Amino acid sequence: MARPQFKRNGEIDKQLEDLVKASSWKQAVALCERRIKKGDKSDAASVAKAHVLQACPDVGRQQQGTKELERIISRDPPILDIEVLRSVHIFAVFRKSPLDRLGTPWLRAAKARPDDEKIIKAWFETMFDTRYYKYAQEAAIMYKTRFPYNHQAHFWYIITCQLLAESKDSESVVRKLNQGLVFGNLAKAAKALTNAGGKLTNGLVLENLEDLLLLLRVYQSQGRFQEALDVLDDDRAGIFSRIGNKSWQLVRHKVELLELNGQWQELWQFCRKVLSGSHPKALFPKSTSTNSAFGRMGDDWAIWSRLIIATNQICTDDTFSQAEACIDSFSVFSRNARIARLKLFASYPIEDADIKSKLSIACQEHFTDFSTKYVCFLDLSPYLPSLRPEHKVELINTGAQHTRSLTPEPNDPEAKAIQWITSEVNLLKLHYHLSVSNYPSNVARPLLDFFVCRCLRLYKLSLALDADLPISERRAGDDAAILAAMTLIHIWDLEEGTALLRCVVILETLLLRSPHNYDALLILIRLCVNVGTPSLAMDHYLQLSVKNMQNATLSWILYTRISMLHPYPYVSQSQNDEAVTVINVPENITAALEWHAGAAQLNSHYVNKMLRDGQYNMLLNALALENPLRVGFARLLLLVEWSRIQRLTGASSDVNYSNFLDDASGEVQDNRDMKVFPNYEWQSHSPFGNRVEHNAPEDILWLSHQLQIINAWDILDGSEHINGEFLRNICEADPLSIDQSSDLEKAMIKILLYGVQILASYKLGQKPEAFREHIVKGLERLASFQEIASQVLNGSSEFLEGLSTHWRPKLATPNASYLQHYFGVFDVCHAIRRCVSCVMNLNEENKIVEPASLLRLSARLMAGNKSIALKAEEQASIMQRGLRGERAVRDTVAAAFDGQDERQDMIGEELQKTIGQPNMERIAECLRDSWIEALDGIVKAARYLDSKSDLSKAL
Amino acid sequence: MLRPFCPQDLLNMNLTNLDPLTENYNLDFYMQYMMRWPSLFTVAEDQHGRITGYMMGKVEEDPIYLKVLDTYMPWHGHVTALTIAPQYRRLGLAQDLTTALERGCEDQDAWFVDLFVREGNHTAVGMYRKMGYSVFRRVVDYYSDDPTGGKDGEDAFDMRKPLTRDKKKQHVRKNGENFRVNPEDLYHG
Repeated sequence: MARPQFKRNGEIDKQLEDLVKASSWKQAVALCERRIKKGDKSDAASVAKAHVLQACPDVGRQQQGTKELERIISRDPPILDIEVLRSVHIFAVFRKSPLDRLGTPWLRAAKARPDDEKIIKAWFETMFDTRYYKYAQEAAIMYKTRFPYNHQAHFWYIITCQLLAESKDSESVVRKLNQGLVFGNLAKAAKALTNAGGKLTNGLVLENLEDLLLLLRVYQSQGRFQEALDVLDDDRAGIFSRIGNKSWQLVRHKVELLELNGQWQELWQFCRKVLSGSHPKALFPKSTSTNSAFGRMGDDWAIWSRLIIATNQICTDDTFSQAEACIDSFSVFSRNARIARLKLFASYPIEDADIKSKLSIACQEHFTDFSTKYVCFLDLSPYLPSLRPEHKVELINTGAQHTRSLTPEPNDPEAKAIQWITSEVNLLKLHYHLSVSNYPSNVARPLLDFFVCRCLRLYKLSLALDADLPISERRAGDDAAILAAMTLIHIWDLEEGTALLRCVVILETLLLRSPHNYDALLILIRLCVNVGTPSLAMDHYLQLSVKNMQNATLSWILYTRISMLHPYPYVSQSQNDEAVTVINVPENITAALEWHAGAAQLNSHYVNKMLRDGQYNMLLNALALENPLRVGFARLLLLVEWSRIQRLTGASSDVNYSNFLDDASGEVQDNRDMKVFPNYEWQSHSPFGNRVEHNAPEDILWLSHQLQIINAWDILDGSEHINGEFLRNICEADPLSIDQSSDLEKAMIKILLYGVQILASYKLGQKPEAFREHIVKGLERLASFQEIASQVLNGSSEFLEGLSTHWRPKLATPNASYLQHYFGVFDVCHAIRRCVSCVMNLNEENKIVEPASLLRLSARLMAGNKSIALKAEEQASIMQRGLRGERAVRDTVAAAFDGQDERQDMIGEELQKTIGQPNMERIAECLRDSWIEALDGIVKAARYLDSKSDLSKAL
Repeated sequence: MLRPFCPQDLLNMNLTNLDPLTENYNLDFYMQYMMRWPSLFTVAEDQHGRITGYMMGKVEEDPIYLKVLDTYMPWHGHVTALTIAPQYRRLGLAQDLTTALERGCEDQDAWFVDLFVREGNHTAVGMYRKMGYSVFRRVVDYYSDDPTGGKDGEDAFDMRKPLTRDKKKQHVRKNGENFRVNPEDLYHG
């Protein structure tokens, strides 16, 4: 948490802030004292003085500040100035003062002014705004007791009860108690409304839809489904009441509750009623019956899906045939009804040959009627696993037959050709889903080759169409090219070879014509990272225009491990060589981190605003967004990358994000959007979004190791205060917990752990003899880690040899793993350097180890770093030289078109026909330039390491 | 299916917001609409729970002191954003979302619903015409950029559909394409 700012008369106290920022403690205290003497709002000035004293580095002054604050808080008469009370609270939270005292000054103020609603409200709001619900509840109790006719007071109390009932931090007994309280109060509020023939006894009453939605949410979370249904059916509080106002949200709640309560007959009847009201025949002439109260809205998937669930739960011939008839009566005009038919047959609970046949026919009919729509496959996919094997074959056959029937004649309008292409693409998706995605089990490699060629041929045919289509619209044949690329990724999974290169080539070609096809862009960004062309990945990332919320959901696509692929800014030149854009990775990451910090604050601001506006149900939803923003995977990932860029390149920033680490102590929420990738994989397989994550899928454990590294680095840098608990933990750290990391990451963590342990032992007052041994042995261990790094570097040439054998003719190109090895090695070297400098600085002050021997050991380590830097630079430069010139382009073209062995290469031939030599050469040039560019990063980072490897500079 | 927008949806809007013509606003923009006009901010979900489209709208009027001007806007609904993910177009979702907004505006007794659309977005203009909207005026060079990189600037059509309150159809006109106004003539409260 960032230090709260000093405020004066509602504004930031700039004068005091400047002094504190400049660590001019004496002047800051003097300023406060001058203000106290002048009698300028003495409470505010005294509290500010206490806070300044607490912020001083000197322990004596800190204690003086705490005493001063204690005196002010406990004095009589109590503080009554709301701004001062708020400041006391916010600084107490910042200093992590004992929680049980947070409410005391407020309580004393409220008791001193029993009729002052402002103080009680400010007390509640301050506690709520800082998410101290328990103390907010105390304020709410006083609020509703003192102001019983106030609706807000009661609902603020209810909200705190609900938050405590939901909180994972609450003890189970507290959760249960609050569940009871929130239910009891809402039940009273609903009853008060129901019985309100006479005068209301207090403000505890449902007033609007938000209150009602809150009640439903609470009841549902407590499993009180019947009670919730009773409210919904109530004339004064329910769907048709004044506050319910026939809200469609309430209808959706009702079907959900009936399902949760297992009231299948009621659910079935209700769905039928709502659906019949939405039928065009019921709408004209306009009926006044409740059935048609919702009109066309009734034709909603929420209703259809519940009708099917209820039908299959009741499972009688009568209900089944009535549901079938209902679906039939809608099927001409409602796509929902058509999907409902698939669901009805697919989820039938009894194994029945007739039903299976009906499902098969329904699937075939659905394909026939919707194959010219993009969504056809998406509609069908959930129900395909329920088809029998012979029915799957039938579906493919009838699909093929139908698609053939759509084949356009030469003089047909273009629209017909587009429909045919769309239908073909849907058929290909079925093929992919039912067979290709099962490769290698049950599917032979030649089938895959054939499938890729078929996709490419269809794509080529589609190129003649859609010439006038707006650039933002999807082109009918684009998905055929994407399916070809996806199939090649399946091939690459098992056989490596040139499949990945071919994927890149296909998608690059697609984007020439459809630059805004984000399915292609998303896949291509990940592939470009994998083939070692991060600058190309950045170019494509720019095309996506990622901003705002996408920093939380999509930025991972480019930024995962970007610091070990391309940590430097990159100058991107457009194809006509006119426009130049500098893609500054460190700056962009900083901007994304800034956005995260701002978004978390904004969301918090809106949560607080919703509380004041009485939007309680919405408030609970907005609170659910708070954690994904505060401790979201993306935010922490960006922090990891930003820190590593600083370590590897020496880049610096004025902003310090280490306070993000405090937030990370909570539960990390993975908000990366994987579902945005197209997915045609078989249901039991991992989705396609995970397939493009070939390179060390990063998970929460990985993230926590990386955060450990940042934390340790900050400690060695002296920018992080170490508390006793942390020291004890780090001394007992279990190296087993890092087993899932790579060798270099393990080495990195162990090196830093060593450094921090040295610091910890020193601070915990270890005896000089033991400490001396610790240092000497530790430095010797560092040498062994340096040896690991050196071996990784030596292994890079063999690793490269292994890579190039997949291509015919041989071409040495760096891929993602290759680049990461280098940067991983550099990171280890920098960590060794950091530890050496830390130990030497400690020894400089305390002379624990004989300086000459320490110097010898350190000099050896730094020389090792230097040798690694020089070797890395040399290796990268050799590869760069090999890539320069036309040969690399020729070899890449050959690898894409001619394949990797002597057998007939169908895909290569088809690719050549689809893409053409000039296009392929252009793509090969882009790849070559990007490889050279990536190697430039290694050269730069090696030089930086070299420059930092002089012992004198390490100090 | 249609349902009101909720804050968690912000984490799941990529299918729509990656579209180059869909503006990807910051969090506070969505939050403001959700809080002030909850019944006019609707999302469409598919059977897999993915957000396939959404409609953001509001009801407002120009300040009373502008009533003397020809360009004065009475209490009306406004389509701020309507987007459908490219894969889910031509299924009638835009119509469903627009109908939902119109219903919300009827509930709030608005005179008409209006929207701005790029003149060159023929698909959208055609779709709105089918739904009963007509061009009320042309706002010259309203869009200063073209997100697809096509050209420098573009006119907007201000299209309107009268609601039940406008019995005499006094807030729509014929041949509005030829009625030109400048962006500065509009009130940007």
